[in-house]
Amino acid sequence: MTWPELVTAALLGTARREPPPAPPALLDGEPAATPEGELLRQAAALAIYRRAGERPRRLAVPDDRAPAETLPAAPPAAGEHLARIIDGPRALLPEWLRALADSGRRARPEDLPWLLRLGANDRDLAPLIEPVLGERGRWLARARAEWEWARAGDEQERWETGALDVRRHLLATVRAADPERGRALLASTWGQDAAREREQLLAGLATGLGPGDEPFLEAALDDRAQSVRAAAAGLLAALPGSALAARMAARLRPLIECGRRELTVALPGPELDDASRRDGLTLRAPARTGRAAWILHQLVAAAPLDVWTEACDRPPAKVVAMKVRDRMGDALAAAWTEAAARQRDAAWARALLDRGKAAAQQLAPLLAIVPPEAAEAHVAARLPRQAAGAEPLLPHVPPPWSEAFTALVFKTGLAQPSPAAWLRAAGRHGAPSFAPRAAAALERLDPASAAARHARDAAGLLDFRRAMLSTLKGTP
Amino acid sequence: MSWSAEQVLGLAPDAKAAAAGRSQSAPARWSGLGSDARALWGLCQGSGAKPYETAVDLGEPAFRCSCPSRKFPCKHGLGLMLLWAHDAGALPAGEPPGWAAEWLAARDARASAAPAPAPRRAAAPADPDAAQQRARRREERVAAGVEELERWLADLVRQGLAQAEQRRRDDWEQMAARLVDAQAPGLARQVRRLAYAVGTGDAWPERVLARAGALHLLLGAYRRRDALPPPLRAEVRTLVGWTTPAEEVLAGPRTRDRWHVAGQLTEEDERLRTRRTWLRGEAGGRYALLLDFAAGAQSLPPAPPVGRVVDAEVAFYPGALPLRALIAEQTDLPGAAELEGASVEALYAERARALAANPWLERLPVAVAGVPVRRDEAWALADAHGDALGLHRRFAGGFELLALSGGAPLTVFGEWDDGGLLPLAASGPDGVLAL
Repeated sequence: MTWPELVTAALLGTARREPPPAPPALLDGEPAATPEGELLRQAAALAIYRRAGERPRRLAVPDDRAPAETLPAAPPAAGEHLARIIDGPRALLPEWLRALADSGRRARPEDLPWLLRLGANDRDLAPLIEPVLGERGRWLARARAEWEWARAGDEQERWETGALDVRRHLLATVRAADPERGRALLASTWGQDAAREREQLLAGLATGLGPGDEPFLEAALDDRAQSVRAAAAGLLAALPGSALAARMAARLRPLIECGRRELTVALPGPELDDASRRDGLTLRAPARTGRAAWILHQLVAAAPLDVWTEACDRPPAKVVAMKVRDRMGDALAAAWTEAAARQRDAAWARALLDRGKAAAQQLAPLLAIVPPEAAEAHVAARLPRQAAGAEPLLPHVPPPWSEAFTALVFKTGLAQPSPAAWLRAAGRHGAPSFAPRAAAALERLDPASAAARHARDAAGLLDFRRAMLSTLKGTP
Repeated sequence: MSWSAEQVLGLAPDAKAAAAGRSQSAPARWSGLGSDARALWGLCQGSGAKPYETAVDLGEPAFRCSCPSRKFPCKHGLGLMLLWAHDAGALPAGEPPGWAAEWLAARDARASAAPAPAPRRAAAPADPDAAQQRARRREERVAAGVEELERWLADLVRQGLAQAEQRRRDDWEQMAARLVDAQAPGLARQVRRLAYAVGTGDAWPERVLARAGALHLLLGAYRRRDALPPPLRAEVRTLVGWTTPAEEVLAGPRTRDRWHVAGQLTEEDERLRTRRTWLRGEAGGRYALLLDFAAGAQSLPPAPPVGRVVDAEVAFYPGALPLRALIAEQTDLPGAAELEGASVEALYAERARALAANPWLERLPVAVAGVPVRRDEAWALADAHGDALGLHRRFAGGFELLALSGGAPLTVFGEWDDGGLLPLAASGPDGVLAL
């Protein structure tokens, strides 16, 4: 009896069907006394016979090898650190990725699928992951559609055929290396891309933005889609030498009257002409803001800051300190802050930070523009008296923090009624060299207090980061 | 003896506990750290006012912690041991504090009281007649169980497997429970395996029939056991549920070799955790399987981690194709383990030989050299001749294998059963990598 016949017989049951005699060549010995016994006897023999006689399946192996690596792999200890980050403090991942890339090494092969998955789900991490993928990672990315973002291959082809996400990522990468080439890529499909694509891709020019981008952006001011026009206007306003910036300055200058002690700014008319609209000005004022005040805000935020230093013939710190008529000082400072962040003007940023008197949220972007020690000094100056106001700024103080600043944040945190955010910031962003001092400080705390609990976490993080960074320090 | 981090994590009752243990391994969480040749201790600050007192007796290892966790070992015990594995210097040598010394002394007291009966039983049973009688009674019970299972199997086939699908799960479970009562736990396990296969996946009738046939063969072989050659007889007895005492195994012949730890797998069901550690002898090319069990909150005993090499004398349990073994004596050796992959064709031939020796073989340890290939969502390893070995559906690391291979052949070690190859380790850039 053949195997399929046996299976059929077994499914139906021997009560309904007698099994015929066994193939004699395969089974010797006496047949069983009952049909059930005989069926099981044959099944046992045939099943083993079939299993033992099974032949391997043939499978064509594609001749598809990953190119040789050009970078050395991360040391095993770095892999262990990554495993611990995956299990616990995920917030440290960007730091690990940056340190790995800075050390000129690549991730270990076994970690690549996880990193590719992560990059597909988290756009902010993708640019940090890309440099550590190595040849192997870019090769592996071809194995899954979701990993397209990291694929190797012809740039132009990927640009023309990729999904929007992939193209955004590609543009960001190319712009960081070579802004001209990135813009050429963008221009090459501009006529065919849909409005939503144009809007999102245009934002990619923010990376490596420079005067060379102006003609393209100026042309985009006449785009069919309002969202694209707005995006182009925003980028041009970040270029103080652009024609748009000059037009904004021309609109703004007549409104400014700078006296010896007092600064007067007149409100513009509450209507917009076509040229103003083309330059991105809108009438969609936020709540509790008048139309004219909103137009003024947009003008100040888009015009070069030099307009003010020239009109008043004073350096930024002095302009910012002037009395402004009609209690417009804070509104004006908010617009200046926006302009300084956009134009990345360190002198203005510093002046505005020193002026203080603004919500932390508003000032936070400025911390990234001023030199690191100035950012730390700005926050330090608020401590300990204005601790509550300074706390939201902590995550924006650019790393690496100095050890002194770390110590200050740690100490201030311990004195706060709710120390969690302070100590978390100290642990995540603080100088890892502070770890031993944090551990020593712990000894003096009541171990059951909330402060001690958070301080312990902070000291643990610093310690871990110290080990993580020292593993990846220097060139391999 | 020094421990690696992965060895320590191997003691964790589950993956979550391992992650929690890692989180407790930062020195800043601890105070009063110390160690001596036998033990580690420290105070871990938890959420309460009083820190937890945590100590580890490295001998076994055994754990003690004053935290309320019911996991064993708890995260503090694991964390303390991990901390020590990472940096032994963090636990300065010293005298154990009072609470730790007390616990260690209590353990010594228990140890000197407890093991006394064990050697006596092994050396000479107190009452040989009584022991013989007990053995005879068990033989009788098992024989009755075998007879009942034969009738039950015959019923199954008489009524047809199509009917079996409608049978209640209880029927199977009751048969299995009766076999446990009959002191044939191995047969009970086979019945449960049969029950799982019914109605699962396509072509289930084929699998059920094959398993029912194998069980029938086993019962027949057990009846004729006195006529079987001794290794096969031992295999049959083990499958029915007889166990060979460890001291008997260790008293038998031993194989000395440099053993490469090729793979490790811990499986869990609601009652029991089973860990399989596979060793490959460097000179003999032979595989040895270390089996460890832990019930409930117990912790698994330590085992050498994947990628290590140990110089050990290994004693095999008797059987038709001896794989299960015990380590008699071992020393850790420096150096990284290596895998030696065979062609797929050679493995099929090896499996045919293995089945000829042991027709009940469930899984075979194999190392294959091949390129990971993905077809229709399923992974396989294809060797240089274009022969493929399919990977198990349970295996989730296909892309990790592909990443390690870079499209070139790599050596994968795993367990090969009906469902395909379940990879446990692969050759990586720095030696064998556990998957």
